[in-house]
Amino acid sequence: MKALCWNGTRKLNVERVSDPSILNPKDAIIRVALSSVCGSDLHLVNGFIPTMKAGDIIGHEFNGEVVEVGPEVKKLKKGDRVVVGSVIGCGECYHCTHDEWSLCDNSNPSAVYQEKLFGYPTAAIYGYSHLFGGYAGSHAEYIRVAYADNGCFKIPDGISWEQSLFASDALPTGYMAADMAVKPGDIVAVWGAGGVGLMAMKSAWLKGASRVIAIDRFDYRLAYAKQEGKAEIINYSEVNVLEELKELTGGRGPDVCIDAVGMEARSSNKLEYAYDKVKQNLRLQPDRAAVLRQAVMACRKGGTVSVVGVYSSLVDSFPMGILMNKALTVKSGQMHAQKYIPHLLELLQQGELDPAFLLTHKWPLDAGAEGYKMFNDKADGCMRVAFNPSVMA
Amino acid sequence: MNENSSVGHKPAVNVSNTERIISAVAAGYLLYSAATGNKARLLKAGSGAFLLYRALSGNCPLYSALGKAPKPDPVKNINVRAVVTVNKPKDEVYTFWRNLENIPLFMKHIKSVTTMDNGHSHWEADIPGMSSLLSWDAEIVKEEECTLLSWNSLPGAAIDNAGKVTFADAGENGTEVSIIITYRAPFGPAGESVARLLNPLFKNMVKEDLRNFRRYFETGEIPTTKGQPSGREETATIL
Repeated sequence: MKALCWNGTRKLNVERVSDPSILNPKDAIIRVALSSVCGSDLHLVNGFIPTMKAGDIIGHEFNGEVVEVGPEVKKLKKGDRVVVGSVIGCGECYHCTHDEWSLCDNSNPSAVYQEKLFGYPTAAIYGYSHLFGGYAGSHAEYIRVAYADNGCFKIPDGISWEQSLFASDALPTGYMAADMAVKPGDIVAVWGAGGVGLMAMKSAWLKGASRVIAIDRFDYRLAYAKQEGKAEIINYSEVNVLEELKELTGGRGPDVCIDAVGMEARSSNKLEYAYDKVKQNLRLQPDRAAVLRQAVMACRKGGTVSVVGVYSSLVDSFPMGILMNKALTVKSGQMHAQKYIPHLLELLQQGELDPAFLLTHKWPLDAGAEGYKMFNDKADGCMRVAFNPSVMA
Repeated sequence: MNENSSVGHKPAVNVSNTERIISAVAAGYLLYSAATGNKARLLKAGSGAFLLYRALSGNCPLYSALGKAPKPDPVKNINVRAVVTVNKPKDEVYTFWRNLENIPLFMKHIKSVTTMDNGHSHWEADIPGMSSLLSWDAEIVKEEECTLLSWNSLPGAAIDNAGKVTFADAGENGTEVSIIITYRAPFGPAGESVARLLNPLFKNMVKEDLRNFRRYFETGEIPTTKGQPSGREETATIL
């Protein structure tokens, strides 16, 4: 089959590799309909996540058709149209049975390495480095899905591939950012108007937010925030974010600050950005945390900072004293796909949510490298590129 | 089970290391003297041999007769510990372990365990770096329903070893399973230093085995990516 392989920093190639096969009794093989790029892939592509190996197939946000099931798969059959959660959960361990699927004890075959770095290993994620299990990703004609009964969700009738695609990752991630933090009446600020940030804005409304404020620097993304996210907007390259947020909130600050950016954040403060960028490139700090620092500064006293932007390990100059003295709560995590997807598919079916607008570019897999470049450069009004490795009706 | 608990069946050590060195030097002198001298050769040879035995074995029959307490074994038993919490009730976990033939399902290097009618079991292991399968017989030496299981290898084992697994209720977290494996390296002190070098590897192996136990027992499978496609395959080609 064809697959998009990572062969080094910013080096992606479409390759002919063998087809996947059932390796464990609970596996299924999915013929991929759509497979989206994700902001968190950029950390891999740009070489900021260790434990990538040349030849790794990337991609983790996808849907498709079941073509083969292992002997222990009970709920799926050949021909089912499914959307698959990017995070792999066994369904049986303490964390999965407590709906904390991204903390799964069992799904990560390289647990021993992650344990050294994190203290305790977390769930595996498709196509997301060997630290996260080394599972082959979804930018391919076929993908093997582990614990398929837990990871695959049947797409309701009347919901298209395009509509259901982002229920795999961007939508549950944004939804979780709001679900962890937002109470009715809260003013919610969201840093990053990409796929996850926009889903967080929509979800904040669903959770009863009274106002939503979006922070980004790309006008076309802020336009989506305004139109789709019903948000007030702040372009951080034009105004002082902290002052603007204070003014917009009667001097109190937002009750909830959502970081939907993560470890490759830019900063409107040129000195801070240069400091972070140089240290990151010299590998003196793995993660740049300008957004996280600003969120802590901006947040209302006693408020909540909700972090779904991805960080790899360590952050420098974290404003711990500010967090502590302002009595802030931090909520965070890779998203618990299997907890949220069924509910989100219901919302999709009821017409409460429709994330399909994120899909600005549908391209063949052969254009994988160009797709990532356009997405990385925020060119051509790109929100998300999704590849269609096997063109399906 | 402490660091120096005895494994297998060897004479108890009751002579300190310093005494053993003095014994060895004295034995050498006496034996040399017995061989070359001309007075009291039989007495010298006899005491020399006695001291040599005392030095090499660490066991002094005289001390034993006088009731001196055994000393810690200088070829120390090597202990490896690991613990895991498994999301299942204690009785189920215990029952699974009590059927020793289940062990190869999650311990990668144990090829088979066969239980015999007399309660003994026959173990076969494929240890990295060993050219052939290691095998030994073991017996269960202590068993407390749902709480504890311990075994000891029987005389003649290639590697004297013993193990203990304990099961503790961890409330809604399930069951805490703690394992201690104790073994005595073959080939005496030289073997011991090799074993000490390899011990971190062995410890990781036991930890991974226990992790695999949880994976297998909770889900019925052990996660893997072996055999999946990648651009590293020999036949992969860039299009």
